Amino acid sequence: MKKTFLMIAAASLLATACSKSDDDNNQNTNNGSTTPQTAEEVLKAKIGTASAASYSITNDMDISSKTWTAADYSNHAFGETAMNGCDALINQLDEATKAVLKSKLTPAQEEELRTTIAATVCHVIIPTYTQLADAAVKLQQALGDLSATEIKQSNIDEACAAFKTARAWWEMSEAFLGGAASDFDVDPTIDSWPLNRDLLLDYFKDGKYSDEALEDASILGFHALEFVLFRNGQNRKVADFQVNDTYKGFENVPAAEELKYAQAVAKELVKRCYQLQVSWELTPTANRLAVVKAAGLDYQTKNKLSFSWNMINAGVSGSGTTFSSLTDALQQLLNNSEGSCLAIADEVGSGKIGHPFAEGYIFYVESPYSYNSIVDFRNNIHSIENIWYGNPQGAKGQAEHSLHNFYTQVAPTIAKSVETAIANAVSGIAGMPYPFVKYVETLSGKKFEDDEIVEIPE
Amino acid sequence: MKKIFYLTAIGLPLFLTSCSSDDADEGLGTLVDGETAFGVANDVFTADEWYPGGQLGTTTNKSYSDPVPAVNTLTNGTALFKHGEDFFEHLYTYSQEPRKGLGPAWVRSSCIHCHPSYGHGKRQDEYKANTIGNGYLLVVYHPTEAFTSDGVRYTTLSSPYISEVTGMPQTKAMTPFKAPIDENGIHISWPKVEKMPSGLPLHFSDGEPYELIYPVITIDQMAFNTNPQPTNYEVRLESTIGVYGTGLLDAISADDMKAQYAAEAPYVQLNPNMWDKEANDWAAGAWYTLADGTKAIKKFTYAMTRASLQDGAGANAIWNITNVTRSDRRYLYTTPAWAKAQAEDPEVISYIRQNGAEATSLLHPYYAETDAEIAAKVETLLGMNNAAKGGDNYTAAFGAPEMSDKDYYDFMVWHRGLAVPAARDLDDAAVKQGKRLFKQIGCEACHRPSWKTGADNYWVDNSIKAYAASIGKNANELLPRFPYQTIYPYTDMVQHRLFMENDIRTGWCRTTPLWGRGLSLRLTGAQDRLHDCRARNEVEAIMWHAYSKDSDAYQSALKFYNLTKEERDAVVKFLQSI
Repeated sequence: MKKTFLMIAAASLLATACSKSDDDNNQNTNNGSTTPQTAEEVLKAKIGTASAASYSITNDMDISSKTWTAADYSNHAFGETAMNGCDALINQLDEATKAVLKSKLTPAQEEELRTTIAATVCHVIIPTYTQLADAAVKLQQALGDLSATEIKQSNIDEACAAFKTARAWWEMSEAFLGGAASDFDVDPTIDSWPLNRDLLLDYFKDGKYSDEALEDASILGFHALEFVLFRNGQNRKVADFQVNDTYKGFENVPAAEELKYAQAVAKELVKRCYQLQVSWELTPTANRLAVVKAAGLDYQTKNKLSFSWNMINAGVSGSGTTFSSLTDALQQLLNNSEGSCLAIADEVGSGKIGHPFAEGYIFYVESPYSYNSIVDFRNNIHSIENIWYGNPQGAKGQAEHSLHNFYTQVAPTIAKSVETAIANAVSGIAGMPYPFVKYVETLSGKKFEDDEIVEIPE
Repeated sequence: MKKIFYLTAIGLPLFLTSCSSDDADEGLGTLVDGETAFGVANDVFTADEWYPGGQLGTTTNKSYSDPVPAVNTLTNGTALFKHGEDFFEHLYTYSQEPRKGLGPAWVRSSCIHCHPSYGHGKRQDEYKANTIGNGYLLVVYHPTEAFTSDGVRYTTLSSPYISEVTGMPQTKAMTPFKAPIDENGIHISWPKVEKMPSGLPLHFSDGEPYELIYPVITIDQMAFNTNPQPTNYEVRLESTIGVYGTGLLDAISADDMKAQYAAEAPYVQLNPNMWDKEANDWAAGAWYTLADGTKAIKKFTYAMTRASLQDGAGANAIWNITNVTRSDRRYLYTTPAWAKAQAEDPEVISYIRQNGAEATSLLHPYYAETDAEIAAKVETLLGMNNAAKGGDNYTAAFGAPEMSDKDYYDFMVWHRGLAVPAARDLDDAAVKQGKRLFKQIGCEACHRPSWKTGADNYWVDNSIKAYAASIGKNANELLPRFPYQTIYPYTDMVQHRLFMENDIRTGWCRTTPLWGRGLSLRLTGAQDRLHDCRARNEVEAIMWHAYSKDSDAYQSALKFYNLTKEERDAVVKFLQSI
């Protein structure tokens, strides 16, 4: 009952029932009537359309195919440009948010901002998590429950490709970790790094892993799958799974057991990705919700709202939203200290790049094994870009309602500054010598001495 | 042509907006500055109250993770803070850089497990150390019981921790060791209170009900992998609280705390281990001896066990929760009873014999030629639980400390530098009404609104001293400082007793700061309150104060009980705003 009320409240807020229907392009008709039937229908009519979700990891060839000289690897300027780009973006996102916070919004501005936030939820957050979940399913299905003697190279290659796609969508979701990902601690559960390899080895010491292994986040998620599926940046070979592992310390572990472990981890990953998807969906996809429920995972706020309605209802008294005002929701999207666009820009600039590059903490290089660091960083900025432009293709896409459109109207100078900062951050990151681990090794004079790094390309 | 749009919402006033078909051409218009109430004094709140952590310790963001402005007084302070943050946010491993050294037994593998989203632990129905969000510590002790005048059983100060497991018991261990407590033998249930011993009904006079639940927790004796196994014990849960603002509490002077104790002593019984009522002075037990022999007054943890943030819950936790050693902690957080049980376990010995021969094996320090020698090594090495047994012996067996002095220093910059979030909505009529009522019904007697910090010449531990020496700096200038700040933590820094069902061990619990707690639901997705997360909202937390008539807060809670619905809501809104 409560949920019904809340959805009606949200729908009412977003409904715009014209006194005279003279709009030939009204997409909000239902059996000839202009009266919306459900809150979701009302909402979807209000927020309009955005370009369809699509993303190809082949776009990242522009990073890995560049040619770098020895002098480039010794040049601090590339890293400084990347960090400065992140800093500038942080400042612009903060300025954009505070410009709204200090303003008295007109009713039209407030209505458009509410519509824009709803559109961002529906056209960016939900599709991103859906794509992430779809890729995780592909990964899981490619592995299936095939034994080491049944699995084919095509299965492994398909799983590896799906892994990279899922990884890309995950990185492109990190601008909106606030909400389900944060409340349900999904990030540390599926993306803890480094992999606690010795602990993983413990679970294989008896020849077979135990289900207890699936409870420890330090050996779950993307990096556990990466360990089993990839070696030295390459897809593992099918023959590898028919003998013992050759990895140091794992020589007594049958790779067939590692395969079984990866299959179990993939199933857990799917559940968590489903959790993110259904937690944000306006109406949860039934079969995926069933999986989430069966796993005992939460998918609603404490007040039994979906995270989308929680944000769309921001500031609505009695709705149960955790956002005290509409601008509170804007802050969560743009400049909140955790789980926002600003937060991931800060994480990329001061953490992912800053720790190894500026401070010489070589072991903070993320994704060193697949040489995917720079792609990951750039995808993180793309997640900001997607939020800003209101669609999963960022500046290349289209959206009827977006922060880009909103700010272009209410604060055009700020809008341009944010968009310039996004573009500069992306180009600054992509402009660093590839692979990132070699770049920071050269600059710091330290070696990333890890068994998984066999060779850094010259 | 204008078209009239109308927006209605159930429970909301009807409001009108208009738009025209050429809205797109006209645009939305540019932003126009509005008025802000933030930082402005009004008839109830001072301007300072918007900044609960003072100017040096408050963030204006809704955040539990921001650095205090004082971090900027340090050279490269933001980078230090961010690097220190990493040790809090991410999981430890056995041997993988940059966070290594987990084990041989551990309570959790990271800080974030217990402080989800930097906040308070979340209420759990089972005890699983791997559950991120489970902020519970198991408290296992030998009870000495007593009863309140209305029949509530509680356990007294003569209720020591059992000695077979560590004070914060571990339920995880690296193979082949068996964790000191097997989680399968831990049982938690949450019964409802059927009747308040104080006699208050479980509904307000206007009919609105409230429900109280409390934890019942048991651990099977067979779940203890120790020799001996404990007998005659009870178990309680203690949850984490938020970590922000603790640097500011460290800056409160002992003299000011003493004045607070002296002011309260005539009116309420204080913990005799802390305050000597006859002498009107600190009791001997109030003093804590720090690592360099410095004596200081206890001020941290529910049980008042620590006197300096640099030797407080976080500084200890990064060592003992994970068992990650550092230069001034070259020993393990273990017990002899656990070490003995592991040494006597044939499976442990056999496993080490089979897997510990290689010098690169993590088990190699325990390896020897014969089973008897392995057993002896296991008992000796796992039993290195103090500086005398460990130290150079530890280094000889296991090598260099697992956390460097520099990393620990950065961690403490982060810990001491976590800001308190600014207050919200202090201009709201209900919030102002709530503040008045909070004072009127006597809550402020324990939840003291304001303190002024002292000079904040903080104590420094040996690890940071070693790091400071290595870079030729003064250790007393390397951490954020908060001198002479007016702060609003809403705690008297004194222990009181509420006499709740299955209450905290000894019954004495330091008044928990209320600052920033109102953001918990927004920032962490949960808002469980009280030391074991038994209260699911503010009203439940308040009404637990009235469970027994002997509660120090009974009269205030009774007054709250007698408020109107509107007034109760105002108090709650106030709590959510500070």
